[in-house]
Amino acid sequence: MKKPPPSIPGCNECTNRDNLFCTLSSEEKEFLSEGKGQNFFRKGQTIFYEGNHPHGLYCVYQGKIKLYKMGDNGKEQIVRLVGTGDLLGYRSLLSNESYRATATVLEDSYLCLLSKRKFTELLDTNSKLSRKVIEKLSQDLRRSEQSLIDLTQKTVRERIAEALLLLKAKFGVEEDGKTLAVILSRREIGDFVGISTETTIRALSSLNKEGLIELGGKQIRLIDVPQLARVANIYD
Amino acid sequence: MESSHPTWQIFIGKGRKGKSYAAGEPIFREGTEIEHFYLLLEGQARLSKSMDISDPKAGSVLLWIAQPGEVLGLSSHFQGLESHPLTANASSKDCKVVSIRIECFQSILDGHAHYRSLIIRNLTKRLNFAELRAKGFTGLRSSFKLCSTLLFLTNELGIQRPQSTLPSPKSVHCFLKDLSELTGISSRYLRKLLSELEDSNLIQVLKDRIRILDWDGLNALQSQGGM
Repeated sequence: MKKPPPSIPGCNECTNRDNLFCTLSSEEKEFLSEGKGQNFFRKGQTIFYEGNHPHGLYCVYQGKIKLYKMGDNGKEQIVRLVGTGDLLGYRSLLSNESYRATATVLEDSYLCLLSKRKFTELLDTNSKLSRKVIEKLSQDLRRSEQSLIDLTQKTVRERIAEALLLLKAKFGVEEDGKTLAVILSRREIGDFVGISTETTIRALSSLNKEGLIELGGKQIRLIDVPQLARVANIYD
Repeated sequence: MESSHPTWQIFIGKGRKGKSYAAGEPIFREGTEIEHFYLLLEGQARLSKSMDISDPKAGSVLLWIAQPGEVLGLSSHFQGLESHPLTANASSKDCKVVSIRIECFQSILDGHAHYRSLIIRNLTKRLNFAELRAKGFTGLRSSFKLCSTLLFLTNELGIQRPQSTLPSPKSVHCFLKDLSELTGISSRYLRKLLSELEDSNLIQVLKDRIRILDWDGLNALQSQGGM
């Protein structure tokens, strides 16, 4: 079993790029880093539940996490997948509300818990950081509204193809250049797209038969990405 | 409703006059260049995405009903887009908007933490609503979708009526057509559900708004998964 690293580095030494905090000065990073919590979560562990109140801001040093809401029918609806360098629960913290979704670890993950007070203080004083937050919210908004449009317009097949391409964009691929670098069960893929597990299995198997993907247990290899993009109705 | 939105006085006080739009008139259209941001001073605006931009008859998906104090076109710019991905239409006859040059708006944002936090709060609201709807579209009961949408809209966008007796009822400006599009419930079935909620004394349906009479009751109904 993988063991947690001895310690997560301070924010100044963090190697994650394209992070919200990359624009901070060395002093600001030091300020944020002081007293931050360092947490290790095993696969399947829940970081927080929908309805909990945020006490700080989680920053993913390394790992993969799903954020989901539970429907009254007991079905999960995955609202977002979060990976290395991403922030977790920042919106609840910004709006001073309880978490709107539950966060559960997909793969062993290492997270920093940053002080709420320090984060909001930096937002007030650093316009570049605020601008980054606005950009991030705008991008998340576009994604959410697009998935809403997809729900009303796209077929199951189109949505599954799009989800596979989104997973590739979000988590990348293994060294072979084709296998998705995230392992999700068929149920989780269905929860992500908003369809039943049975329909997900049928759609994946159809894409498999057409040679667009290859299924090996829970691993999925994307064989023909341009054709998948055409199926997903995604054009640049 | 105020004649000019107090939270954004900085943009309104410099001789800028708001432009009035008739109900249904476009403020900006999908596909056109983003040159200005649009501060909504009065009324409401519908943000929608067309099914097929080349075919005006193809219909559209309603994504958000903006309220006074919201800045339209901003999130598209911050996504790095050069053209509007959505269309904004005035949804009420009293819609008044002031356009602001992007550079001017950005310099104000850079200098005022207060305005940055307002923008962040508005974007968070809209994002939360998009996720709420995405959840609602996946096989949940129509009455649950309706209760959730009413609670959200009233809570986030509703107007507190201080002159009312306690507890203050809240109401939200929303046309049935908009509510139907936002919830994905047909107009006919929506009328039936609303009338059931009225019969239970949970809400009161007025011409252009819905008043929540029993917040806790509606909340409890939503928690049970609807009627």
